[in-house]
Amino acid sequence: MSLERLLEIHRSGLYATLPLHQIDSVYTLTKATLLTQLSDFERFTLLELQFYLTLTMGLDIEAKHCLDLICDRFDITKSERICVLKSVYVEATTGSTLREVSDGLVKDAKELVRLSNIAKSSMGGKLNIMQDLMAVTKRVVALHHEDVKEYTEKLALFLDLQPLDTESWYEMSEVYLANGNTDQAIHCLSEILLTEPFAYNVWSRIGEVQLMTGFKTSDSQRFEEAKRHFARSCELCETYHRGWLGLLESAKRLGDKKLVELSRTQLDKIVSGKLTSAENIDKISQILAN
Amino acid sequence: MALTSFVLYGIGVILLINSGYSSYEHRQLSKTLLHSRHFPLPLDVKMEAVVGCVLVLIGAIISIQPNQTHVVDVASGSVVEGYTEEALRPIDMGKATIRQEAMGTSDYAQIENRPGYIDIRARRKEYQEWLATEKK
Repeated sequence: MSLERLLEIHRSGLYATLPLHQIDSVYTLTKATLLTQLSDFERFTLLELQFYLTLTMGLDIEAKHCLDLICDRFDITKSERICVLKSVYVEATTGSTLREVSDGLVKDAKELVRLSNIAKSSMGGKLNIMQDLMAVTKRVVALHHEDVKEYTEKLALFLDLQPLDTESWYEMSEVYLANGNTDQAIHCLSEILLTEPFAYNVWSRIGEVQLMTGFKTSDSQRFEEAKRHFARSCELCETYHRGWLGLLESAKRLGDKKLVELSRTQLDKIVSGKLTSAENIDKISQILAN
Repeated sequence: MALTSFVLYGIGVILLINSGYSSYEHRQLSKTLLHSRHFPLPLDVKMEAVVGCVLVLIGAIISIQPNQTHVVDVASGSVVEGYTEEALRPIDMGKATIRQEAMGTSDYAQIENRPGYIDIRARRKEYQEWLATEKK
């Protein structure tokens, strides 16, 4: 059971946003699980997870140990993923500027491309950093997050190359939102829905952005749009707490008493049946109490 | 449920073995005694095989159980009550995702968590600050 849980944390990328007070327990569990009998796939997935957790916790020596174990198995001159991991390690543990980190990453990637082109020259077909090493390109983009203008340009350039990368569209929308460009943010989120039309968290997110804009401008059209998007997310997941909370809020603003009643009963049902995680239940109870 | 399907499996397998053995015997007999004439397999042996197959199939269908009711909250690790759905029903997206919501995750969580854009320096700083407030 704990192995599946850890694999799920890795798969969903939860380690990047895990609540701080839970990092320690997940770390302990990963450490214990790594000592048990595991398949190669499970072992190296957990090692990658452990790498990120230890880096977050500031346990640099252990992080280096995880990285070394991964490097021993998969040659850094053959795997772009390890180039990325190495750059994360360098970013976290050294005081070098992000540009230096990015230069180091590109250097590793060039070496990888050079060696692989030597190996492949007899068969024809050559690698190119920009077109073939997408993970490296994405990481280079991510390392530009300090300067907003440059970051947006780089993200746009990357999304031209890779328009189906939902994670990057989401990042782009967050950047726009932080700078108050709500319409562009909504546009980016809608692009995700073209690729993943059932992504109910993204439907909810659009609703939230519309709701925020609605609070600012007091435009009832925005609340109507928010209601539509929240309703779709509730349709895709009947106990989705964010969807129902948003629906409750937008229904309140629109003065739709029937919908308010409906969302309240549904939220009560979620709380009493414990149909979502404990933290979400706390959140819902607080909002319902107000 | 488990006992019924076990009994059905048992009876079905016995019937299948019995009909197999009968047809083998019948073949031996027709080889030694009646090799010149056409001698078809008796109807009861055929029926026995068919009935045996049907019983095994029914047993297999009965043994299908709905999903487990308890799931683990991914972030905190506590066991939570999941959602039980009847087995052998068409899967409805709105219901199928209930289980994931109880686990505190979703198939699309990666889009929002954005592990590729993790700002590791900020995360480390946050963690150290949290640790400092925790120690006080």
